[in-house]
Parts: sequence; structure tokens; C-alpha cells
Amino acid sequence: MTENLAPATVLQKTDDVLMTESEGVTVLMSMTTGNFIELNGSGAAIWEAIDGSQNQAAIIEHLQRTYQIGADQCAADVTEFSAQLLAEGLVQEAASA
Amino acid sequence: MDITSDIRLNSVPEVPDSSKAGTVGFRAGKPPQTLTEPDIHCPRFCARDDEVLVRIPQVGRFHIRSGSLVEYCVDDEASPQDAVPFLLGSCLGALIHQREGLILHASSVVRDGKVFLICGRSGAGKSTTTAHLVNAGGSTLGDDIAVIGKEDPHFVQPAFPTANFSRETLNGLGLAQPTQNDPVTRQGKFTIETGHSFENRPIPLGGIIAIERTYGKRELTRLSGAKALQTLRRHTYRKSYLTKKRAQLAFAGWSKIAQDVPLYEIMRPHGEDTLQEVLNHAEQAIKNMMNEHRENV
Repeated sequence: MTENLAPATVLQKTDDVLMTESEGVTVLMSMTTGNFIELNGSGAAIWEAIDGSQNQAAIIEHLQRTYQIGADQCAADVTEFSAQLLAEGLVQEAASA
Repeated sequence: MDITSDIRLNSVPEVPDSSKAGTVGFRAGKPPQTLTEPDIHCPRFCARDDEVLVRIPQVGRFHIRSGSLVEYCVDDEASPQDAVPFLLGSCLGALIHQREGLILHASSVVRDGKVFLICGRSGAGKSTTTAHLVNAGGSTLGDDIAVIGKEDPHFVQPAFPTANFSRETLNGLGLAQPTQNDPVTRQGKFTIETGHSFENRPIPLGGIIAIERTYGKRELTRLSGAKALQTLRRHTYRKSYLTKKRAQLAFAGWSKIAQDVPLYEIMRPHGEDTLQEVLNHAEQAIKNMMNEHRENV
């Protein structure tokens, strides 16, 4: 079960993440856990959007507009995948300004 | 890898000229008790980017430095020969990491000018599988570790002309039973010389097969993406020595290998006699990999 992230949560990539392209897919590795994650189309878009400044609500709105997908579906995809990235130690909550 | 050593290394040939570039030295000395500000600190080892200190209880301490030197001291209750498996195992693994090379826990079979690596954790059956594949037609670059070049074609360096077999495997291969004088590993396996089937020259990598123990699942799968990279990481020899900087370099190496050569996985259930099934899968995988290479030429 994944914990829902609040819309105001801002995530940033950690220093412990490595990224590569392998046979046309993007693969992330956490140096802390040694776990690997393969990014599909939406996963890659969410990963790209996590930049340490946009909060979850802004990312959902941006992806919804860019890819013309339903608001509920987009919100579910973003929060679920972001929570997975957080659990794997690939992203962390950004410190408040 | 060329080695000069002040301990006799049994079947490993020594290099007469120790000043030759790239030569590794094994020397008795006084390794430190610990490293200053290590990046990794565990009870049995600590590591920084260019040095690793390994402590083996009842054997000794090993200080591996700059990809070229291992300074060791043997505990009072041990003999210098007790240090040899660790010099040629863990220490060599650390040296290869320091040289920014790729080293897998793998045995190998050479067919038609390509080498196919068989990876597996202890007990997965890589040595037994490889010995049967070599017997069926082929040669080998070694039984336990494989050092892979970083550029395509990825040449694999010859390791050592020995293999470690259980008594059961020796029976299955129709080989003579060991005598009391034959060396025995800590896992109770017998170290046998592979002289006649050993290739002492680098050979381009044709592909990699990983044997994974499972509970019930049995299949042969072509790996790609994250699964391929994860498999290469899992079977990287002494990966626990990789500091953050070394892990970044290794990750780049795994990515390159996964792009350049095919990887297969054989799922092998625990508690069943599956040797023949694994051999059939391995032969099929090698055939597929050879076909892929022919199609790419």
C-alpha cells in the first residue's frame, strides 16, 4: 500500500540515484538500496517533472495539460509513482524555502 | 592480470618482470588496523575509493591499494597458504574495482570464438553447469570470476586454470575422486586443475546467463532494461566493496554491457534434480545468443 502525498509536497531527486538508458528504456538505481526501477512513458514524464520546485499539484496539472489525460487518473498515477520513488529512496521531500 | 607474489600461488603463473606495467603485487607487510575516514565500514572490511582493508578471522589482514598492490599479514594460527584463496578472490575483486574494471562472479564456456559467462550465487550450480557445457564441446576462461573489458567487443580475461567441484559433481562428470592432498575450499569443494580445457587468452564476450534459484518457478528468459542491470549488479564480484564513486562507474559499465551483449536468466527450482533441464536451457540460450551475433554481423 502506498501513502498518498499531499498536493503541496515538493519532491527532489536524491544524490543517491543513478540513471541510464538501456535498450530504449530509462532505468534508475538507488545506490542506497541497490534497487532498480524501469520507467515507462508516464513514469519517465513524472520523473522528469520532479525538479525540487514544483509541488505534486503543479506536476499533476502540468502532466494533465501536456498529455490530455483525465484529472483523476493523472493524480492517481503521479501520487502512486511519486510514493514509490520516495519509498525506494530515489526522491526526498525538498526542504522548505 | 599479471601477478607477482611472495607466496606460491599454485596454478597461477608468476610474471618474471615485476616492473611490467599493470602488474599486481602480493607482498607480506604490516597492513593498518583500520582506514582513516572510510566510505564503507563493516566488521570484516572497510573501504575508500582507492583502498580496501579486509580482515578474515583466523587468516589475516589484507590491504588492497591503488589497483596494484596487496599488502597482507597472516594471523599466528594461520599459514601463508591460507591467505592464497583470499588474495586470488576478495583482494583481486577489490583490485579490479580500483582499476575501474568489471568483474562478475561467473564461470565461462568458450564456443566458436566467443565466451559465454554463467553467473550464479554459491549453490546455484554454475560450476557444474559450466563443466558439463565444456565437456559437451568447448573450453573455459575460468571457474569463479570473470574480468570483462569495458569497450565493445568486451574481451574477457583468462582467470585461473582451476575449478571447484563437489564430490557429487566429480562423480557426474566421471572425473577421478579427489585425494587427501587436493586443496579443499571453505565450502567443502575440491579444487581441480582444468589445464587441458583452459584458454589462456582474452576472448570476446558472447553473452551472459544467470542461474537463479527459485521456489517452483522454472523458465528461460531473455533479460532487458532494469532486470538486466539488476542481474549484472547482483552478480558483480565483491560489490559490497564499491564506494559511491565506484558504484557510479560500475553502473555505467553494467549499462554498456546490457546494451552490447545478450543476457539470459534460468530459473531453477530448489530441491529438485534439474541439472539436465538447466543444461538444456543453457544450450538454448547459447544458441540464441550466437544467432543474435550472426544477425548483427
